[in-house]
Amino acid sequence: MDDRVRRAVVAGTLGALSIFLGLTRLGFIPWFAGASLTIMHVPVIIGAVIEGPVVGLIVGALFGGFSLLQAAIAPTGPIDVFFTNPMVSILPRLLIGPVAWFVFRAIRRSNISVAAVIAAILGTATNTVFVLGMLGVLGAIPWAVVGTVAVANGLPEAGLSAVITLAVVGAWRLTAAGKRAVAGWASRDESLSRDREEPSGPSAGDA
Amino acid sequence: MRELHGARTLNPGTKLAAVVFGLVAILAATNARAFAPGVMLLFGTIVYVRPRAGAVLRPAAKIFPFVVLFTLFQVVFAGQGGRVVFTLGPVDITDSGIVSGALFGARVVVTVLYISTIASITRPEELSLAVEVAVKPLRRLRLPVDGFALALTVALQFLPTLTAEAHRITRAQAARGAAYARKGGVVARIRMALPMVVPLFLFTLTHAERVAEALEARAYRYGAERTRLVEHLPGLNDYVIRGAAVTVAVGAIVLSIMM
Repeated sequence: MDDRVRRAVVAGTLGALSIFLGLTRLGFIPWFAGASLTIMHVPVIIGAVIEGPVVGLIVGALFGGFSLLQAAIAPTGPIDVFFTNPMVSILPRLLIGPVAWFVFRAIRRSNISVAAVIAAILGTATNTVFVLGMLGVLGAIPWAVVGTVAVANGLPEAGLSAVITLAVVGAWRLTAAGKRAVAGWASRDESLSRDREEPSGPSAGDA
Repeated sequence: MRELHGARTLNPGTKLAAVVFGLVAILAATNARAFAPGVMLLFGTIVYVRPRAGAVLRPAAKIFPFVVLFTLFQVVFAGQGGRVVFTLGPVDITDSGIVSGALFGARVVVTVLYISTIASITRPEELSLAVEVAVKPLRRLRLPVDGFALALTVALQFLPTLTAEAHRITRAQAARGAAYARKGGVVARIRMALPMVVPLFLFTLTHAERVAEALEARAYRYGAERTRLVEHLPGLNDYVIRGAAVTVAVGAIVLSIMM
């Protein structure tokens, strides 16, 4: 199968899932004081973890584009005032996937579950830090409020995302596609380390 | 039924270009004069499109109270260092605060009106056609544009399937005794959401494999040229509007830098 077609389709379906979580409000869990915890960015993290940074980038673009359109066409709350700016709604979302992937890629050899959890936490942190940071830079909200929201909303969101990512990646590993992908990672990681240990060694044996 | 107005039949690529360059013009403006091209583009678009009033005013009305709130916020807090115009109790209202507040409020209102105007003449499917039009020039930048175009098409097709699957999962979990009460604390709500969300993710991932296989089985080739049953060839209108949108964006950037 052409990997590029499969990756694009996975990116599309995960992007649709992110949009679906937003449209149905299923992706929002009411927190205190009218604020909600969101898991709309979790498809971005999962796409990046299982299919790589480009898939993460595309899912992030679909997620960000949807939040821009929703803020402009069907606004639901005060914060949508700021999401009409693509520098807030799209740009930070493009970074979630690549960050999650780099983290996952670095740790997956020792333990895939731990790698998924840390990738989810840091991917969520990327979303929180860059969206709120952009609001701070634009002078939309004072830095003191930025810090408070980052802790009050960002931390529980990171925990929730980690739980979902762990459950989804864990179950996906048991599917046929998941087994194939994990076996592929293992062989790639192994050949990588073999190259590092004996740079000029004969590796024609497995060709 | 309303007559089919010319603006509805514009090439999807033209609509996308109008949105992208229009947003660039609105965002690039750092002073009142640089903001003028964006406002002219908005009025030109409204006159040309003649949208239903409700389609454009409803979202604007919804967001307007918050815009006023945050604009006042900007006037009060972003005005340090400016000349004091008047004092309101403990706060000084400065000229620079008023300018940055007004610019902020105007930017949000213009963006909302502009996007809803163009959205009122655009069907969701046109989005993927538009991105396919934009693919050709962007390919040279080595961005994954072919993948993005396919992903967008798949995403739009997949939304109804997801809705059906979500209903199925809800019923399946209810049959297993899940109670979807809208009560309880955060932990209770999370425990209700997980049995819904995790199967949805897994359905999404396995469905993607099937779609990719189905595409390959029908000889889909990544990035290949495709013919269409209905061609959307750009006409004179399209080129004029694309040119106008680019001019407005360049104008706003030049005016921002010059002043």
